[in-house]
Amino acid sequence: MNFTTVSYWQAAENHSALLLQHYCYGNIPFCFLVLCSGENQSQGRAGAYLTGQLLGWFRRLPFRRLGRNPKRAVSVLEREMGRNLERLDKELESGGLTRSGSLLSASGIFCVDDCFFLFSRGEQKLFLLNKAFGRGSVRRLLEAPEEGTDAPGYVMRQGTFQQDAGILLATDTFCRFLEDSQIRECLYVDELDGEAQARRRLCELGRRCEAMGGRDMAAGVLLSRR
Amino acid sequence: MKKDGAVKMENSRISDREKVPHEAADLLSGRGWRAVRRVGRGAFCEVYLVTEKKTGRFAACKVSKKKELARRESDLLAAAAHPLFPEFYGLWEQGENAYLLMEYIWGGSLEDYLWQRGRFCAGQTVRVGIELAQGIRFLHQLPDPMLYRDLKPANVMIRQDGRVRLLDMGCACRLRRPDGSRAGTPGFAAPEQLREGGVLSPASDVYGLGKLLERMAGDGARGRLGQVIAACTMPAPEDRLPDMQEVTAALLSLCGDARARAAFPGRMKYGGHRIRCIGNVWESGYKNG
Repeated sequence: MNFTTVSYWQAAENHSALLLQHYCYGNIPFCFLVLCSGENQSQGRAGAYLTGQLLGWFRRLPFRRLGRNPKRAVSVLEREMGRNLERLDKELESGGLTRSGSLLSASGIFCVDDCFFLFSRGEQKLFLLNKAFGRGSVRRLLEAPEEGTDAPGYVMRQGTFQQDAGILLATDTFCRFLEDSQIRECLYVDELDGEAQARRRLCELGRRCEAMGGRDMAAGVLLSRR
Repeated sequence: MKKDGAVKMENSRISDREKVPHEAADLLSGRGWRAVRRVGRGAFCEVYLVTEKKTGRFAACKVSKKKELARRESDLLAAAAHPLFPEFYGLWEQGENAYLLMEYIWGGSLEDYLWQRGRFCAGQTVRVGIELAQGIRFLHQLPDPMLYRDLKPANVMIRQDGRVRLLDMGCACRLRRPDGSRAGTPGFAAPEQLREGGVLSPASDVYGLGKLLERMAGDGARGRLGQVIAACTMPAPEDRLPDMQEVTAALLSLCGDARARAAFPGRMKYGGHRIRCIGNVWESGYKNG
């Protein structure tokens, strides 16, 4: 399985943080996309810290060992990611960048070959893009939990990429101004031929949102290809 | 974990080795800094990751029981105003301890990377060598020249963007006013550094850099790179390349090789395969350093 990975980050005063890493060991792709959204400087710094720590974690992974059994790798790393996120929450709280009542909004996806796990907390939006029945479709994943739920934790899912499917991860500020149909038309998987075109399409969506007043926007897309 | 993959986090404690002692946390708090966790420990000191309460800026705080050493290190760090070295923020003393505040370097140590991956390819070794040589050359060319004296993988940080930084000026000294101590790490320190009455010179740091590059390249230290490393690691100082300017020139002459132009982490040799970096994006308005 191959991937096309592209990202968009609004080049202005931006309190969100974006991390996108795409490595290939032999023929096995490793993709890691994390998005943190913030509304103020403190949350912006917290997002920068979290993404920086996760970048260091990703770079230290034993790619050769993980690539041998992607399904098992994803299971093991999902547990490890849960522990990492919990530790980072504690560090951010003890460092004064977050408070117990308002934890950092962060979401991400990690893929090894066609196996992946997602994690999400907060207001980021995750969309599944595919070309089911010859038409592009967009479906939301991991809907936000209801207000008032106890112990706000990360929601996690594992899965397998199908051929020519994709995932769009974007801040709420990015999606607020877009209809699902606009996302579907712009990022219709079948028409996206290469990284350059995918990046142009994603930036086009971003410019559209900027024109409508969007701020603190960021988005990342993973598109699978056989 | 439930079958459908949803999981709720349960609370757990930070490991004991990362906890910050109350005394240090209280003192830092009084100075406007909040301690996050312990990130390192040496023979006489501990290093904490701290954050400034007012601005949220991150820093590293080295708490040392040897005040004289901390004062000396702060002088040297303040003089080493070069991108290779962490920025010096301040020094204060209270009670038995000295607190040295400096820039926190995000990334992983070269020692960790070597442990994980075994070795680096020639191109990356050369690139790291050039960066280190240029920074150490800055120290040697100061009006009051300094020697670093502690080049080793544990003191080299690889940043997220692939550039390197050097930590720990604890073994550094002024060339014209050596303190007479035999500082350095066996295996990386030049023979004259660890010998009683040895005469120090910039060639001592050349030896340390050569040994570090040898460790990085592993059994890939052959051919022209091997020759440069051998010229840096001759036992007698007068037989080595004399200073970092010569080392930089020698490493740059290797860059005509196509492999040497590969940028970290573009291509890394690992177990016979190559790890290719296809996408490397990290965006935030608040990255430090």
